[in-house]
Amino acid sequence: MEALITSIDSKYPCRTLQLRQLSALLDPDLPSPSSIILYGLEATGKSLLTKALLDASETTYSWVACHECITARHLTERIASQVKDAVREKEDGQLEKDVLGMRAENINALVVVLGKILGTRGRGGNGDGDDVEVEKKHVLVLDRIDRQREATPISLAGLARLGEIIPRLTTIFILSVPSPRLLSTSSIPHIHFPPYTKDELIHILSLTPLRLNIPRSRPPSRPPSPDSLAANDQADLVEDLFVYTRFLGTIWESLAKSTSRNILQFKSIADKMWDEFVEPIRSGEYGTRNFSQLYVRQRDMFRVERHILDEVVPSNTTTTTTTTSFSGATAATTTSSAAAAIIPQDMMAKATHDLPHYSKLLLLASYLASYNPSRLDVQFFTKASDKRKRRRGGGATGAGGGRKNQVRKIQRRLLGPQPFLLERMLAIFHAIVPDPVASSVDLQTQIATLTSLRLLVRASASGDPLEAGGKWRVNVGWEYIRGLARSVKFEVEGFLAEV
Amino acid sequence: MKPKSTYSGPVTELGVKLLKKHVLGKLSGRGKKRLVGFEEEYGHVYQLLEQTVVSGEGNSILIIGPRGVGKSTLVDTAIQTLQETHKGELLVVRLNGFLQTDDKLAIHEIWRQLGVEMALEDQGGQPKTSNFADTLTSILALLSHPDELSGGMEEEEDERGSRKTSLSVVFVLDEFDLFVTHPRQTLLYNLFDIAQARKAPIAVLGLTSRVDVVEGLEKRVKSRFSHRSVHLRLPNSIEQFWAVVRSGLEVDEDELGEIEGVCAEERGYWEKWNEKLEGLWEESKGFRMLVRRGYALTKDVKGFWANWCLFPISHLGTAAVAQSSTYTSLAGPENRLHILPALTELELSLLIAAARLDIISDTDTCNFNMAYDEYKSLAAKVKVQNSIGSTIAGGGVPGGGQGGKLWSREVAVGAWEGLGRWEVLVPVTVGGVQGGVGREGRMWRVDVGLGEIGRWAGQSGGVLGGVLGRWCREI
Amino acid sequence: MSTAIQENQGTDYDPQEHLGCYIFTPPNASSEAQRPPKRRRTSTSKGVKQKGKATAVTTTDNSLYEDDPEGELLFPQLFGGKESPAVAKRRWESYNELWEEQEKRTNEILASMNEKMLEEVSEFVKKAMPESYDGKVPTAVILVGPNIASHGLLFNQLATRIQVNERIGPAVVLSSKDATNLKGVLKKLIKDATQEDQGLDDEEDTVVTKKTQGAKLLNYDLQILQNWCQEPAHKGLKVTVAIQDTEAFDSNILSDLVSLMSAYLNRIPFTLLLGVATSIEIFHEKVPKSIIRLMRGEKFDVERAEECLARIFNDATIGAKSVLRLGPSLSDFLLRRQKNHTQSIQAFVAALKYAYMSHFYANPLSIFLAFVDDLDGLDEALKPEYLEAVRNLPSFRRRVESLLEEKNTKPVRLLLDDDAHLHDVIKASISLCRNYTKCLAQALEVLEIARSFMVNQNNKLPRHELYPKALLGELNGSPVIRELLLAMKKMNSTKLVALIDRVIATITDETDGSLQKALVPLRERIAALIKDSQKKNLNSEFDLSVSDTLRATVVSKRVQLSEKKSALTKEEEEYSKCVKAVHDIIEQYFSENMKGLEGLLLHEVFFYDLLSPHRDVFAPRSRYAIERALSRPQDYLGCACCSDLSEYGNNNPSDNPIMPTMPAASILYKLYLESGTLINTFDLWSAFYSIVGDGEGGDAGEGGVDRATGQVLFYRGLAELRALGFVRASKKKTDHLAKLAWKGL
Repeated sequence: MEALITSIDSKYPCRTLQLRQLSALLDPDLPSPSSIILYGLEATGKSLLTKALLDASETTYSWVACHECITARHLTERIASQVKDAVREKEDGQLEKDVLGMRAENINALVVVLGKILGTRGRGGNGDGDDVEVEKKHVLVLDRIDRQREATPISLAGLARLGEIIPRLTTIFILSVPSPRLLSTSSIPHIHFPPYTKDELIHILSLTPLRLNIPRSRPPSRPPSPDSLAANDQADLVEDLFVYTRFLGTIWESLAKSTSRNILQFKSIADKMWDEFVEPIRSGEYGTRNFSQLYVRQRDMFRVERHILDEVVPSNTTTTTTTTSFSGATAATTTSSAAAAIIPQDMMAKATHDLPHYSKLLLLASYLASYNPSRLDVQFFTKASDKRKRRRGGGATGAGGGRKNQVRKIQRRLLGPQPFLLERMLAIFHAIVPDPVASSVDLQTQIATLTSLRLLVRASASGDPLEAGGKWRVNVGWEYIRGLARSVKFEVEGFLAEV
Repeated sequence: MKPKSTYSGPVTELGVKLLKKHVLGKLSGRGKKRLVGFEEEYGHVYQLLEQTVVSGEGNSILIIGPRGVGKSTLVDTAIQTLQETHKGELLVVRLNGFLQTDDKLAIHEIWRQLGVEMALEDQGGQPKTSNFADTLTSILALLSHPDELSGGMEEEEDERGSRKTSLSVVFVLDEFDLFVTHPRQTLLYNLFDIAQARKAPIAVLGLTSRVDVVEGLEKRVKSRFSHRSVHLRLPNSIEQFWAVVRSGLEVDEDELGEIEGVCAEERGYWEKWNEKLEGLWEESKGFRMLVRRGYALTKDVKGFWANWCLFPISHLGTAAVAQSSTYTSLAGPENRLHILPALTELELSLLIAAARLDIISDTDTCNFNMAYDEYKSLAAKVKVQNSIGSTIAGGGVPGGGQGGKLWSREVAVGAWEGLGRWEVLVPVTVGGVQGGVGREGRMWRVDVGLGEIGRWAGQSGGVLGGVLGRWCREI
Repeated sequence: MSTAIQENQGTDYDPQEHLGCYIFTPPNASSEAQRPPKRRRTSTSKGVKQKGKATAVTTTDNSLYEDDPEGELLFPQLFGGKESPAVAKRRWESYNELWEEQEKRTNEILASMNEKMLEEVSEFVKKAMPESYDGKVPTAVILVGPNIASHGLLFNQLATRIQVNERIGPAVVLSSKDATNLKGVLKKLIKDATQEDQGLDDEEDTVVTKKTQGAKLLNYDLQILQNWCQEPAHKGLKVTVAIQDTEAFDSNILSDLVSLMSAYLNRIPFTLLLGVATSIEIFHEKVPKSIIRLMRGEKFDVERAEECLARIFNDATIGAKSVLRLGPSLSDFLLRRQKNHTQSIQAFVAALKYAYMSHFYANPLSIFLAFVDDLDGLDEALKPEYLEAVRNLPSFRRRVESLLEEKNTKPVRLLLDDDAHLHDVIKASISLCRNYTKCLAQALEVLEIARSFMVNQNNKLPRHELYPKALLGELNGSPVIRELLLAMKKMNSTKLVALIDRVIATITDETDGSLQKALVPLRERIAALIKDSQKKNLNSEFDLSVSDTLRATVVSKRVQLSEKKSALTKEEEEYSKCVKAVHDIIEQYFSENMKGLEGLLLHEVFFYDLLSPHRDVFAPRSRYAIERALSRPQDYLGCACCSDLSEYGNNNPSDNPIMPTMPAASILYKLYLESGTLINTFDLWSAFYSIVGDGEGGDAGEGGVDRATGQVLFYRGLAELRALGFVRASKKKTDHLAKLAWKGL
């Protein structure tokens, strides 16, 4: 037992206590509690540790990833089938046909099925025969039960009762944040997986350090393969570790501590930054030992947020492509070949698919309609009044509210877009559109398009979209709108009550 | 709590093994539980059941008491003894509000259990028809009292096999309050009706932790319910509490006795164990504190066992294993605050900003925009304060980290979502709809008070603690 | 519909116009006999009459299709039926073949547009592995642009390419319509992915048997897909999930889907394609960060709508191949519509086709287009009525008038009387027209090229946007060109040479190689100059003053200039001369080729330029029509009682009074316009009754209706207004009406 624990402990470090507790509770030849809760934020080794322990111990278990189950029925079905398979494979228990045929549409049925498979407790006299059955107990792990989409308190409580009804069964709930009375029973032991501390993180990551590999050129992401660990390589490893650990420390202090603490994000940040950071060392202008100088040089890396933002399309690659294209274009222009002279144009143009002109204006209009109180419309959109009078008036209403009462008035802008009447928006549109436009069907179609692009959303869920009384809402942020306004040379600030 | 220290004789593997298995069994609710106290309540329930079994009365009773006080234990013990005294004269149907989530299911379950009990293969385990009424009538027929049966004993013999008297059935309805919530309370109505109208000898035991459950019953149901109820109260003195705790921890000789291979050493060891428990209670300050704490906080015995006893006892051994972490509890968190240490600084800052808003502009809801706005102003202040650049020492970093660095909107949104994911922020749905406004305008409610955060920040100390603490204090 | 009525008022009133649908009875001779006069006018006159024509054309045309599919005499015989069926048929045929050519070219362009993107994406899918994106779902973000209409087509192309051509694996296209709930999406995903060869029964019972043991699976369980992927037959296949309209997709479902995919990623080789219409930023805002963290990939870009439009337009109207072209006002209208309203290529193509059709349908002279290639074939087609038609053309009239101005009446007489002469003139002018378009197109091209050499690249109009201007002759001597010429003067030698080379290269197929002839020797000279001057760059004298603008006073500038001039080497002086020469040549070239089509005889035949049909068919102003109908019913009813109102101010309803004889709806509408946002129903009623009522209702004259009838009218009118979406029962106050529609939007 001890040996097992130590082996796992070495594999998944910094989780000794949790490991001991869990193994104690799951001790194969002692009765286990009917259900156990493991909790801790994401990437704290809950699932890994449990799996490792269960794999090592001889108790049969069945693992259900609850976040993969869409409905409650899906979950129960999945549990049933998993347990069936586990029992069939591991403890070659012969399941008679009717058990295989049985379905678990709901928790009640699930109890029946499991009872059939694992043997329920004899009626009345509870716990006579237990000592025999405890020998081969079965562990049911419900991983990420809190991510189950249809989990109600009642169904959870029902799941928690499984272990009480079926003596052989022990249910392990793995979740991130337990609410005190989650399973509406008091006597469930919890095991807490706290997030890793700085030192733990660094310790864990430096088990598989990123390499400098100054002499050779190996992809740095690959951990050192043992065969290639020659003596000099060993020396390198020491150096690399020296740099790497400090590097990690710096990342922690500058970025990770305050934005992304869990190990996965931490690692991803490190991976992103490593190559760029150690580039001077690779190029040989810095030694491995004078880290602080290197840091001072590379300091800006730790100021920008580029590395901690998650994007589908990694920004650095896109930027590189665009920059190359631009540089290429400029180069081409210098060599005045006319073909290249056109390139920068459509390069820049390519950057954006932009909306039709009036769609932009419509969007602007709806932004104004969403963020301006309608009582100010007269003030803003009467063609006569000039801009600066406008702004003063608008500003007054914006700021004046704040100073009066000591309970600070929440700025309208912060409350998000307010619903507006379509008619009002159209009126504003006609007010801000530079040259009078005949309102044809095209405007309606554009509104429809904007809606299906979710740039414009219907606020009132009522009935038919054609109804003129319907309320709408703009669904884009200020930055986007500002960009839009610039692109159509419309000075939007002048029309906003609060800028 | 190593008995080895006082016990003179040898400690055998077997002894320890059996003891652990026995005690843990009791602690984890696996083994046989023993009822402690509640003699009179027990008598009440037992007598009621007995009447049902012996003289075929129909009875119904509510057993009310907080979780873990021993409702089920009481019922189980009663039923068990009855089954021993009157063998084969009563059936038990156990329903649980968590499992049978509607009456249809419940009926099916009843049918199934009865079917299992009485081995009625001819009728099949599950009724063919899923029609509620049919099932009910067939069950009624099944339960109906011999006197009311049309035709004499002969037919009955034909259809009921060889049994002379009709069986009496005990319905145990765990989480009774949930059955009350079922639409139209059909099940309860029928059960109570049968019980009251003596259609069949049944006893309905409702187990619940809610005192006001009777008010939930519909009139027609309430009128059929014999308003008997038994209240099980938590131990109201620490001695009582200890007695119950101890009952779980000590060894019941009579049970382990008859296992073969048990000889004097084990017995002696177990006696010592029991004595030692008493001794712990008398002498050991820490242990007493522990019990007292359990008593003061929850009076929850099961909780006490699960949180404090499981782990140490499972680590018992013949040789004393040095366990530094013996006393680490397995208790769950009491409240949301346990999440705070796990939050990143940005998340904390946003959380505080949001919590401040509740007070500053008295709204109980806020969205990301507002929180971020507040956060910006706060961070700006701090930046001004420690604008004098800090030195770089061993990878230490300037400015950042100390709540001074202003993180961009994009990053902040991520943090905000994290708060939502960990339920520190609770979404506010206005009239069912929350979307549409976009994630930055979506309204949330902060689930932790500013004061609580402040207290925690104060404890956690450090530069960060200082800054955040100030944010919590200065409004 | 309103337009349809307009057409018919005055002429025969056709009740069918008001029916939603009716059985079409093919036009018999008699109806043809009385309709032609209008037709004759339509081919020449513009405006209101033309409107009606457009709609009439559409209805008759496609209903004619059903009538006789083998299509003889699908077009009516014009000239009051005097046109021979053969010719009418010929018009129909020539329309078809011309359009077919055009359509073929267009489709080729369209197909070629997406080719590159398709290639890249399928390539990405082919070698996308989770490993290469550190365990995240390989995701291709495809920026498809805001033109929603084209997305479906695009993604189907993509799917077929991945699934059929490249055989990478099943590709499932999901659109927001499928995304009512997660279950539905998964069902569709699984069904579409696995149905390739294993059809799973998906009836009422949501249970399907999986091949391995007896265990059952729900049909939204991705396990099915997993098993499918593990079958030996499908080893190494990738499952591609393409989401067509990511914005419209419900974001919760989307994130659920993505998280599921990443959960299964180790068992099912997923690849995700996201069609993003707006921008990646907006997409990022839409999806929670924790989900974004699960995706990693690259971004692809489809050809922008503008490029696409430019190419198609250039091909269709400027390109040498096309015979019928769009006139200035129409093309201007279409282009602006594309720019302002819809960037939809499909719409443009439709408009183009419509232009072709209505040209051939209504214009007898369009027959000429059939003979552009063999002018001799034209002779037997030229019946006297055609000559008449030609003589009615405005361009003809213009020609005649211009001749009269010059006081030489002889050719005028010939044109007017001598048919044979007119024959030749027509033939000549046909070839002239064609030639003109060629030159114009070329000039535009040269212009574009030359402009691409200018220093400041901003405010640069592409060729196709200059086209309408050019047709109107506005381009000639316009700032655009002047600016260019100025810039050319300032060019240094290398740039100029490059420019000349490009120009020469492009105008190979010039009708008369004048420009080429003129430019080549100059180029030689400049090259020579460069050779024997040491500098690699020769600057002309025109380039001087720009050197610095610090000197303020004019005098000082002049001084500086002069000394600079003196500082010029002789090569440079030479060069300056050359520059001057080139400048003049180009200038002259433009002034020759950038003429408007006004002076061109017969341009009506080659340039379809009727604006109103398109405006009414493609951008109808329904709301305006309704408001007008309500405020001025007499325009539509043309009834006697209101006829005296017709001289009132046309559009503003304020200054034409309310007549009790008007329809109830329009009376109520007028009252509605006068009232505030909340209308008390009783007040409205009393006002209404005071108008229509008799005697006691107030000032309403005799011949009013009694109360009961009034109420009937009132309620009906109100109901109509309600149906038109003007009013709604207000929730704020009882028996009040909420005013919904604002006026003039």
